[in-house]
Amino acid sequence: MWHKKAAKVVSKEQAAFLNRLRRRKTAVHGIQWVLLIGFFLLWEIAARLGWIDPFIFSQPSRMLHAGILMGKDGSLWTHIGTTLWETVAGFVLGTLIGTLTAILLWWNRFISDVAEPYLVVLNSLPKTALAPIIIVWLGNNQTSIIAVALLTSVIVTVMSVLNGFLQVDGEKIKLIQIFGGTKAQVLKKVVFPANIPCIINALKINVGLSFVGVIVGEFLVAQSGLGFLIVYGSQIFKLDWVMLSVIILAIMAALMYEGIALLEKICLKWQQ
Amino acid sequence: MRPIVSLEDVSLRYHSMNGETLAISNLCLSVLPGEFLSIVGPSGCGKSSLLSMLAGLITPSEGIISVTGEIGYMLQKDYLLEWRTIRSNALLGLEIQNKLTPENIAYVETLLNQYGLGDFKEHYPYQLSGGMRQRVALIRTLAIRPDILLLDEPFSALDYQTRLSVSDEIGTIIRKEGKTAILVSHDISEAISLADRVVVLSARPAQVKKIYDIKLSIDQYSPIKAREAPEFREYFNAIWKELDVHVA
Repeated sequence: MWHKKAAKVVSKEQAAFLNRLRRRKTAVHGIQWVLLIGFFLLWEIAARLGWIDPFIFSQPSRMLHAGILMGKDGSLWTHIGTTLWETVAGFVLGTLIGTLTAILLWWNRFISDVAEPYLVVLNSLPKTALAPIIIVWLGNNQTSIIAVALLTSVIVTVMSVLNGFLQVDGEKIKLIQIFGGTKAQVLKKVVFPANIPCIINALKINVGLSFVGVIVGEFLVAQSGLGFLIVYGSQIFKLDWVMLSVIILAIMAALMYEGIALLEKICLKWQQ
Repeated sequence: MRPIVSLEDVSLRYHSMNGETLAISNLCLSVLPGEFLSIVGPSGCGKSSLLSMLAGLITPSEGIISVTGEIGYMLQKDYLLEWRTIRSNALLGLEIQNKLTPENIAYVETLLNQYGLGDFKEHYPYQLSGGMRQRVALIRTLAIRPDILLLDEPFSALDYQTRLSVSDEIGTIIRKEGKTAILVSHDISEAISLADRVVVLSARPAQVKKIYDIKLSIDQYSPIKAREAPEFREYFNAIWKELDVHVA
């Protein structure tokens, strides 16, 4: 990239400017860490000094203890693994099926016009309301949970990807037609590649939605998984388990989001 | 010489919910091989539809269009695909037509080198200036070795300075490659400076109102120098009057 070879010599003013930027960034990160550590510290202190009841609020040291115990007997890894697998399966399938459906609807405007009101209604419907029905149909098993996760993300994917497809500049489509291109080529050369940012965006949203589906599914049927641990823990008043699970869920969601951000960087190196 | 493009009594009607619109009515026109033809007309008179018909994207409601040779079409903007490198953008047309032979690829490489894009083949469009992007768009069109180039206000997205130099550059390239060209423009100066003939269309429904043979006393073809020729102003005034532009 030729314009990045810009002069290495930095003026005093520029150096001061860069310095200000760096200091601001350090301050932002520093305060973020202080808030995080302070929160857990305050929680721990509050529990120890009896400001809150650790039996119903748990406390960081007890969560850590519970985590180590469950880590040693391996049950923690089983729970994490189960939830991870269901979530990944849910959002990958949701994005894949959603995108394929969007392609179909883009291809055939008639089907798309027919489907439109149904999509709008399904999109506003809380998909978790369908979870009990799915469980009755597919049984008391993991397939049901993945199906619920898939359902939460598929409709919104169809809507947003189709919208992206329809917003592609008509002149770019004309460009392909001018060279005698077919509809399949319009899709392959312009419409699909132009919407890779849109599809990656859908993936990001679907990570969150898929977690919702999985946890609800696990609340209802599971024998393992973090959702199961949350429900079971709350029923037997093991709030250490519940809180630990919630925190692990937060970490998993953050990591998955980062993973997709990385994928985005790799796929979209053509963006400025 | 036999015309390379000819339109006989061509009419075009558009259909919409609000009714039927006659966009072009009994239009007759022919273009000779190697000729540069400019078409001017009031906005919305159906100039772009005319090019779309020539390119075979829409069929005329009546009349006969005959085109002998491969058509290349340049749109109003460069429409480079942002996710493709310059090389890959230039190869797009060949790729669509399944003509990515080593010989054709070499031809595109030559064009890129020849027209100052040799060092930018692996760059992405956002890294190039407007003028360079326009050249890439021209090379993408030339890559399929068209006999006839259709230019639909191809410089309208550029600022005035760039526009002058790019139209000079592209006009010269088209002459050098010996192509027939049909330019649609609302810029009278541009139309005169590039063309051998200027066709003035009437307001909708478009018909040929008048055709001007452009003869300028300049030594060598150059759209920029053309503007300094003594005859330029006369043509400009005549076409201006013919277009009957009302300034509100």
